[in-house]
Amino acid sequence: MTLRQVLVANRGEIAVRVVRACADEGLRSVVAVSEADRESRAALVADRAVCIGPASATDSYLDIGRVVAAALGTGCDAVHPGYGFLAERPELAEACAEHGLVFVGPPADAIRRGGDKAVARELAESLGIPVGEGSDTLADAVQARAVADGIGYPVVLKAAAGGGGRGMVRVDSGEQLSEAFGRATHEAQQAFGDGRMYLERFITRARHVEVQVLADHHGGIVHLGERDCSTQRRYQKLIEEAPARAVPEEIRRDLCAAAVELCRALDYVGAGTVEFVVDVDRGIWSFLEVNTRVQVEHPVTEMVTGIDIVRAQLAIAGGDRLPVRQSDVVLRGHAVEVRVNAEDPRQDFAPVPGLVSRWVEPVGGGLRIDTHVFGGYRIPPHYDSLLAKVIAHGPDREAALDRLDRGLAHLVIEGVPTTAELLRAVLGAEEFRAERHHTRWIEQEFLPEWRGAPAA
Amino acid sequence: MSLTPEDVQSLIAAFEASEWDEMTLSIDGTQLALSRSGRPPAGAAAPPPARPAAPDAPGPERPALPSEPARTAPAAAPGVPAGAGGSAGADGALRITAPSVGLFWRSPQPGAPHFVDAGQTVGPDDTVCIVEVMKLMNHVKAGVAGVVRSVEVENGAMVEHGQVLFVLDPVS
Repeated sequence: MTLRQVLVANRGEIAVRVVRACADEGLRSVVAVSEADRESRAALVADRAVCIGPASATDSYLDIGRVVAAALGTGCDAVHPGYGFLAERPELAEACAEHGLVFVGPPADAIRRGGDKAVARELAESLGIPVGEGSDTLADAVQARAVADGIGYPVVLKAAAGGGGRGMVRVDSGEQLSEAFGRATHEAQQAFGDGRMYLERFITRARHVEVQVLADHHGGIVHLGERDCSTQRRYQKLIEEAPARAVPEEIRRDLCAAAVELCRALDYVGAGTVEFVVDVDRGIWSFLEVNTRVQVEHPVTEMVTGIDIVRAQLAIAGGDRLPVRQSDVVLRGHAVEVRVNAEDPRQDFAPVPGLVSRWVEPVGGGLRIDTHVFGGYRIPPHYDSLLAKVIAHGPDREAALDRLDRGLAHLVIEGVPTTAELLRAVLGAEEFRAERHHTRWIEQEFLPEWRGAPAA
Repeated sequence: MSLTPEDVQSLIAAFEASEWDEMTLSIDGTQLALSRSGRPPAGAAAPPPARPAAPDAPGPERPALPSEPARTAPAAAPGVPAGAGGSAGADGALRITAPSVGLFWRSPQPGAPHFVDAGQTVGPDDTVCIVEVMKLMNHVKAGVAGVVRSVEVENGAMVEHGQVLFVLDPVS
């Protein structure tokens, strides 16, 4: 079916991004907003905004009934969930189908199977994709101990329903395991309503590499290359880049092939990402998880491929075939993205809501800023702290990093503390420039040193 | 003792989960004032005008923010707090607003008499309409006592969260 009008069921920069893609696709956009976001940039740039509930996300952005009611009530024929909130809830995909709305995302079944880490892991294993030294779902602490003893410490306990760093506990010895298992399964039960756990060997110097996949309703499926998201703090990504230049070419090829194979087995449709962990020291890799949504860091892939992923999502949802064949996907240059958050890195990254009294975006070739912020914008205390993604593209990594650094230097933000200064320090760090960093580098090595240095 | 940002978050969460309209807490000279209407709670000091440039601002400064939603109150519903229930506007009239996005129904089922009509007197616990969210029929109570002056929405129309549904004159 041809889409005409899309309900954007999200907020912040991704809501603005989806509105932009709708405009580019010739679709009308309606943004569902909470009471706190009536005056948001997304609400103002969309064709219409509809207030669906109070500021509390539970009664607005997380309420499937209200989102569907808003889509039906405003005459939309599709719902784009963005990322976070309801994006990976199969119930939303089902509710849309039930009410004749097109869900801009994979079918409910693919969300369910791809999003369940234990199920996805078993599927990957059945396809011969390495899943790392680890376990299936663990019955209890006794079994966990036996598996961990076999693998060797440290290990990491993971919640089957977790993801994005949530529901993970590192365990360094057998003595700690029983207590850690009890606590982790209890926390997972509380947080996700699902206490199932599994465990994996903990890799000391790991790189996080993920592959962007696009699939249509007609069996077409391509990958758009990979991204390196190894610059993380407590499993939260700070900087993402494409391609993953630090990973050997043959490993990157294998990752892309594995991602396509896995998505094919999931009967995947739309944009999805398959995450892997690469053990730098041993030169081996394994499957981590599937993200059944558009990712925060999708722009770096867009910049090196020239393919608009959000437009592709809308086109696929409308029944179109993929805009490209695999042979058309060519990576040009290098792109790097940083996430600028309203957090105080000198106060343990405490989020700071408040008035952005001044906001001026940098200019320059190869620079892109995805944001919902403007001068005079008041950051509500109810949601996450992402202010902007600053993305730079260049002929090579060094050029992209220099452009990004210059962009950050000229990004004027007054009124709230941000992570911009910290990000500039990371971009300039020798380890990062030399690509010797790994997923624990920020907290283990960079931050302790940075905290000791006097503030700029 | 002093309030940490986590304390404040927990207090806000507790407040949001409560039925309260406002809450004021004083600890060692730090005052935390939360209000659903956006107006400072009775007895609370006026909130500081704008948040100062933040780096040195301690966590307890933050509670000034929950009063924010009122600033962005819908133009269509001046002075109306979020959520269901009635409240007095500048002209002394009372307004009943939609607790959610949804479809506005004046009767319990098609063809049945309206819950209320203009000129009728209602009490706070009287159901005045239904706002339907995906087959879920939410009965909206008046929240105030008054005489219905006007019904602001057509039967079956979509309403937004906070939209004015009824205007009432207070019972004198």
